Amino acid sequence: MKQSFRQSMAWLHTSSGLVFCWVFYFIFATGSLGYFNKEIDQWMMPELPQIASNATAESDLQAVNVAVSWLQENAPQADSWFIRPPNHRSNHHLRVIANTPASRSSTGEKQSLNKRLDIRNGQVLEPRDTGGGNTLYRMHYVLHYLPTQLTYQFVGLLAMIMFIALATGIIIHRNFFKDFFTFRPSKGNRTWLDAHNLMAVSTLPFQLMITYSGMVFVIGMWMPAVAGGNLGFNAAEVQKAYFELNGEPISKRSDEPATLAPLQPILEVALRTIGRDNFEYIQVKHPNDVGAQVIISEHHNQPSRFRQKIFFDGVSGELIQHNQSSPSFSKATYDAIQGLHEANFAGIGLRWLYFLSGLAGMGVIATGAIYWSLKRKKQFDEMGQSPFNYRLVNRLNIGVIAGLPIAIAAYFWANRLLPVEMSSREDWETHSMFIVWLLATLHPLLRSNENAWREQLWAAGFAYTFIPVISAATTSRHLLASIEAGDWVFAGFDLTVLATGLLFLTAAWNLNRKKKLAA
Amino acid sequence: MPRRSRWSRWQIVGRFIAVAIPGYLLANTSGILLSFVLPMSKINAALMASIFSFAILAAIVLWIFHEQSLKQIWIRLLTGSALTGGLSALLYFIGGPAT
Repeated sequence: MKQSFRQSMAWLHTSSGLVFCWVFYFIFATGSLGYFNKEIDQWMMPELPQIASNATAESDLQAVNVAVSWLQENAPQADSWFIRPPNHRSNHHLRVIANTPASRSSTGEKQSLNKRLDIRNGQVLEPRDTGGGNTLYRMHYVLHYLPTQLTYQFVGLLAMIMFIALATGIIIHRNFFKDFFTFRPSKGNRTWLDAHNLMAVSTLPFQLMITYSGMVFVIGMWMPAVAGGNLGFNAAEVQKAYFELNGEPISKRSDEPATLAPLQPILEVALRTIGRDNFEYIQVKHPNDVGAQVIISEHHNQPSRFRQKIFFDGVSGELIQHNQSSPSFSKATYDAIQGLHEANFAGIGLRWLYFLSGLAGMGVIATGAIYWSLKRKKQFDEMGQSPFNYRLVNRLNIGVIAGLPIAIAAYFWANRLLPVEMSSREDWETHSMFIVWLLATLHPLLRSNENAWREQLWAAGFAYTFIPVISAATTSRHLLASIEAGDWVFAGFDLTVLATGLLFLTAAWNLNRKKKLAA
Repeated sequence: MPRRSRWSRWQIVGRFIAVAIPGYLLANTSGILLSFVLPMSKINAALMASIFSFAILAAIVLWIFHEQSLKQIWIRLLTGSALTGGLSALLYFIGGPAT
């Protein structure tokens, strides 16, 4: 039986969209939150002093000096130092990062330092142990609990499947332009389909970009033959060619000690070149070694992964190279695709747009799953059947679509409620999230469909609206104090979770009302 | 269980295998051929072709799930792979665009 192209694509759209829809949902949820990973990090460490965000030339130099003293004392033989002064959305406090291999570390074990220092006196700031927003962000490409090499590859594969779902969705959407703003409420299944289409179409550029760029991240894993084919598949040659494509000068450790060049003059030269306001961080490769290299980097200020970097010899202080732009057209293309996905360049307005588009993506997936489920129900009702598999999937749908938001709220609850001195606190915050998620997937198995939806929506509503309350009860950084202090990271977080809670409460109340009207 | 699709279970499985083996193969050989044809240095062409290869694979997947005959699918994918792969090998040995 011959089928039209649209019919074939409809089948493919349903299969590709549905089979892994729960994982897609999880990826979109954690990925969207990931756009505010630094802000969520801050909220989850209320002990850290709120920092005024106006960096000056003096404060940057002071920060660098403080950092270098601390690093010389604590990680003199590191592979690499990163010094991030508080001058950017991502750096509210002076950050120092240093990795020392076991062979050269003072403890005899591999040492990974990631600390925040007080810029005035070099003291280490010790906030509560937490994975913060960064853990949520990482989950969107390595999931959790499973070996990351495997999960990263799996998520890459999922990106390809999602792209098929997107492409086929566009193909089967009738009246693409005519129905652009169609939304017919209270028409049962039709309404769910309209919502699905509307959310997808209104954020379509984002969805296409995020999915395609998601695939480009895994070229090395999924298209290695194309990436190195024309060079004859010689692994060493391919690696060398890609390294050269980066355009960064080689720096090699020589295991011969040498005094590190003073960073102040280097920083001054760099700031004159890239501009004061553009400075983001310093990296020192192989400090205290003959092969030392100092790299000054600017912020991301264009939709690209690329940013200007200036390379200095770490012993003589001489300027080696200034990378002003991506070295080639194809590298610039690659950098732009990755940069658009990561959105490091985005200011607060654009960042919100990314976040909301990601939430829309979640909505597309959720409404798609619900629409499919309702259509199946209609078919089964007509045949007088109700197979176990179908009922199970329906229940699990609730546990994922409503349950994941509850679980994420639990993550924030755990951050405020778990004792600060507790060991493995960071792990237990994440365990809390998954334990609650597990409970949320089991709960619908004990309830009817309608009850389960309603109860979980109420639960989500309360879970989110109470976050600012719990925060006020356990810290001094409550909503009113934050607004008064002009701390829009904290206030923004509290207000956003409040709004989210209210949305869920409204949805629950609407469901309640429908039940009463039907009764 | 209502089955609306025109395919049997084995036809569907056959198509998934067709994606994974000859489909993936054709995407790779087409990508490599593209990297020989693009007017850039070798490494740059390879990177560009890699970026495009996902679109090529997607198009192949769409075709596989529309084409009626599973036999034709395998024949055309394998033939296509042989052609694009052979051409790529030829271009590799006689030297592609100057680096």
